[in-house]
Amino acid sequence: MVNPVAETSDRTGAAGWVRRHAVAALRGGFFRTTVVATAVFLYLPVVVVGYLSLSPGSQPSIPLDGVTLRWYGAVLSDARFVRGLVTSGVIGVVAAVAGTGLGLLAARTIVRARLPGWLRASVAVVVAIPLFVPTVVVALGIGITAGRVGIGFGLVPVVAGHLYWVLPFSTFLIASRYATIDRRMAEVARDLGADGVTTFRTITLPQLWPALVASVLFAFALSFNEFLLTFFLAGSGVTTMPLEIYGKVRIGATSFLNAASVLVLLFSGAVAAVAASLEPPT
Amino acid sequence: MSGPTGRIPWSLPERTDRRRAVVDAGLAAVPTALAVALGVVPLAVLLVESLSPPVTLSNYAALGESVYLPVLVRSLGVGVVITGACLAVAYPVTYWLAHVCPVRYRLPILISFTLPLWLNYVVLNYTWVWILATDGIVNTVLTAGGLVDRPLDLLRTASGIGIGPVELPGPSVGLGFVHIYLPYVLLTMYVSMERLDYRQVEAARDLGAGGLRVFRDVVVPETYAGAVAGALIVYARIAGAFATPQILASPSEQMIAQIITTQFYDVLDYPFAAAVSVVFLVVVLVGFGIGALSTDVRAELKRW
Amino acid sequence: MSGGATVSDRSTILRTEGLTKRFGTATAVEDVSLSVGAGEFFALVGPSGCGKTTTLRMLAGLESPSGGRIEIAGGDITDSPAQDRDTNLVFQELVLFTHMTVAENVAYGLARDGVPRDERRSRAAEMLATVGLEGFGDRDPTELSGGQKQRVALARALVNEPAVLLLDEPLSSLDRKLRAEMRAELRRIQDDVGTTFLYVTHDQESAMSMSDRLAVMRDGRIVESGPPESLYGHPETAFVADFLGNANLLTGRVRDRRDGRVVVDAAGGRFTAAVGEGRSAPASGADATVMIRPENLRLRGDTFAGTVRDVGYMGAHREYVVALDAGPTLQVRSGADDGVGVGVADAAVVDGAGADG
Repeated sequence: MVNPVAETSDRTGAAGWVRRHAVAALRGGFFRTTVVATAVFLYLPVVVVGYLSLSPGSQPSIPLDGVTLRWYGAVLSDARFVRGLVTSGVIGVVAAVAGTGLGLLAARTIVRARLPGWLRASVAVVVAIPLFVPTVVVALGIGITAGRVGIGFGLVPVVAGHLYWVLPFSTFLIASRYATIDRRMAEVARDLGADGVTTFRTITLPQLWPALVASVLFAFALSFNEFLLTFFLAGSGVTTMPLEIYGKVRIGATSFLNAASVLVLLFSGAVAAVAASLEPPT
Repeated sequence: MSGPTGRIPWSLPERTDRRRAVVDAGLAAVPTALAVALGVVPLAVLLVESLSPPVTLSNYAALGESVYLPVLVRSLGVGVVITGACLAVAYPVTYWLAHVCPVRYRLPILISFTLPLWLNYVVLNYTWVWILATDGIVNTVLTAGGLVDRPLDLLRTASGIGIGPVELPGPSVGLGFVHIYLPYVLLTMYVSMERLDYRQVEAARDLGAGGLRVFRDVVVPETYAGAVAGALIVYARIAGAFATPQILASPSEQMIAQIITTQFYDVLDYPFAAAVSVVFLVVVLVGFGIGALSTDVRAELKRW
Repeated sequence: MSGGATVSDRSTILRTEGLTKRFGTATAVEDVSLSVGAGEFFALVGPSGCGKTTTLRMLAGLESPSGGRIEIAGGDITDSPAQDRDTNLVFQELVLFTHMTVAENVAYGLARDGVPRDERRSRAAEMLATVGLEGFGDRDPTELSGGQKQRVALARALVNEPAVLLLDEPLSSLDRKLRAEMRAELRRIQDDVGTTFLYVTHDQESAMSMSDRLAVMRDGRIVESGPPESLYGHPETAFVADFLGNANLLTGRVRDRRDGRVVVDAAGGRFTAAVGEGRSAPASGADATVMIRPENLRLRGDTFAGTVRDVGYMGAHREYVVALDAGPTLQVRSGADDGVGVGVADAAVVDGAGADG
C-alpha cells in the first residue's frame, strides 16, 4: 500500500531513507516489539533474582552450579527478618482496614456531603497531598514534628505515617465508585422508611463493596511495601520488611537476599492476583 | 380561605439541612484531621524549622553557597529525563494496548504491566544489582559471547554525559528508575489513551496521514493532558527518590533526598535539612504550577 | 380563583395550606393549598417548571417547605422527615435498586416496620400479582422492560399501604400505546387497592382520563381545581382553557341573558354561551371572553364566516384552521365525514354550539 504522505514529503537523501524505513518499521512489528521488550524489561530482573535464589552458595555464580531451596528456609528462620515480615503484615492490615474506613469517610465527604463546594474541594486537596509532595519532604517534616512534640520514633508514628500514605489511594478508589451510585436511590430508601444508617447499610454499602475490597487489598500492598516514611519514623525499636531488606542490601548482595526478595514479591503478587480476580481495575 | 400559615418561614428549611451538614462535617473531620496533621502541619513545621534559629534565612544562604545546589539541580534533571523516558515507552505501549491489542488480552496485559505497582521497590531496585554487576547477567553474557574484552562498568557508574550539574543518569540508576516508575506512567497513560476515539485515527488515515503524522496530529493532542498529568505526579517522586539512588547510583550522582536524609540522621542539622526540603518542595510545586497552567491538564487531574 | 374548596364528599386525607418553597431568590411554589379526599385519584397538572414536582417532593418529605403546612389524616407532618411519613413516592425515573431482585425491591419498605421475613415475602408476592407481575420476584430489575419496571416501582411503593401514594410523571418515559395501557392499569390498581393517589404530570390527557379531581398549576400557584369535566367544560381562565385540550378564545360583548346562559356577539357572529357553575353571568353590555372547543364547532353552519386555511387529517377526525372574516382564527375539529370535500381556501361558515364563557 503506497503511503501518499511519504510520497509527497521530502524523500531525498538520508532523511528520505530514514523516513521510509521508519514507516516500514511502524507498519511492521514496532508496536509488538516495544510491548514485548517492555514486558521483558519489567520482569527479567525478577526472574533473574528468582533463578539466582536457588544457588547453593551464598554468593551465586552465573550460571548456577546447583539448585537448592535452602535459602528460603534460612530466610524464614531468620528471627529478625521474620519479625520485620510480621510487623509489616500487621501494620499492613491496620493500614488497610483503617485506611479504607477513613477513605470511605473522605470519599463520602468529597462526593456526597451537604457541605459547601469549596470545603469539599479542600478536603480532596488535603487528602491528595501525599500524591504530590515528595515523600522525603513529608518524612522529614513528620520526623522533626514527632521529635519536637515528644512522640519520637516508634510503632505509632509509623502506623500514622502509613495511614497518611494510604489515604489518598483509598479515598479516590472509593470516591470514583461512589460517584457512579445513583443519588436518588437514597431518596427512595428514605421515602420507603429507611433512616440514614439503614440507607447506608442496604443501599450504599452493597454498591460500594467492590471498591472497598479493592481499597483494602491495595492499601495493604502499599503499606506492606512502604519504605521511606518508615525509614524516618521507625527508630531502633521497630523493624519492617522493607527496612530489613534495605539494611541487607546496603551490606551486600547475597543468595539470602535473593530468596527474601522472591518471597516478598510472591506475597505481594498474590495480593495483587486476588485483587485482579475480584474486579477489573477502573 | 387561607388561614394562618402557622410556621415561622426561616426555621423550616434550615433545620433538617443544618443537622445533616453538621453530621457530614463530623464525618469529614476524621480523615481530614489525619491528612492535615500529617500533611499540612509537618510542612508548616519544616518552614518554621528552616528559619531557625528564629528567625533567619541563614540556612537558605548556606544552601546557596553549598555543594548541594548542584545536587538539587541534578535531581530535577534526573526527574525530567526519567519521566521523558517513561513517556516515550508508555506512548506506543499504551496506544497498542488500548487500540490495537485484541480486546480479550487487554485486561490481562494491563494487569501484568501494572503489577509492579503492588511490589516492593527496594527489592525491585536490588534486582538490578545482579543484572548489571561486573559479574552479573549482562556482563557474563557479553564476555561469554565474546562481545567485550572486559566486563562493563554498569553498576553505580555515572554516565559522564552532561552539561555542568545536569547529567544523564548512569545506566544502573537510570534503569532502576524507569523500572519502578514505568508502571505508573503506563497506568495513567492507558487511561488517557483509552479515551482517545480511535475513529479519529481512522479518519486521519483515510485522509492520507501516515503513522507519524497520525501520532503528531491526532494522538498527541488528545492524550497530552493525560501524559502531563501523569508526568507531574511521577517526576516529583523521582526527583525526591531515596532508595533508588542509594542502591543504584554512583557516589557522584547523589540526589537531594540522600542529602536531606544525611542531614537529618547523621549530621542532625535539622534546620538545614528543613531548608533544603523547603527549597526542593517549592521547586517541585512550581513545576506543578507550570504544568497545571493548562486547563486540559487540570481537568485530567480532577478525573483522578 | 378557586384553590381550596373541597368538592369531594369523602373525608380529607391530605391537606396543604399555603405551601411555599423558595430556592434563594426564586420562588418555585407559592401559597399552594389543596385537599385530597381518601381514596381519590387526584392529579396535579401544569406545564414544565410550574412547581408541581417540587410540591410533590415537599409532600414526600424530600424538600423542606419555606412556609405553609401539610397534614395527613389530620396530623401535621410538615416537619416530619421522609422516612416517618405515611406517604410513598413513585419517582419519575423509577430508580429501582439495581443490586436487589424485584422481590427485594418490593419488600424493601416492609423491613422497617418489623414485619417478619415470611410475611414480607408473601406481601411482596401479593403486590406483584396485583400489579400484574406475578412470578417476577427473582428477576433482575435491569432486565425488565419499561412497563414492567414501572409496575415494580408501583408495587414497591404500594406494598407499604401508604395513606397517600405520590406519583411523579411515571408514564413519561413510555411510548404512546404503552402509556394508554398503563393509564388503564393504574386506574384499575387504584380501584383495587383503594389507596389515595396524587399524580403529578404535564400530560393533561393522562390527568383528565385518570383523575377524580385535578388541579392546574402555573408558575408555582394553583390556578384552578375541580373535577375534570368542570375544568374542561367550564374553565375559569384562558390559561386552563387552553392547557386542557385545545380552545378557541374569542372576545366579544354580552347582548342578553336568558336562564343562566348569555347571548354573545363575537368575531362577527352571535351565539349562546353557558356560564360556569357557581359563577354569575356577566351583565348585558359587558365584555366577555368566550371559549369554544374545536369539537363543538362544525363546518357548513351559519354562525361565523371565514376561509379554511389548513386541513389536517387525523384518521378519526379532521382538524381545520379557519380564518374568520372578522379576524380571529378558529380551530375546528370535525368527524371523519362532516368535513368531507372541504379543502384549503374553501369558504366556510362555522356553527357554534355549547360555547362557554
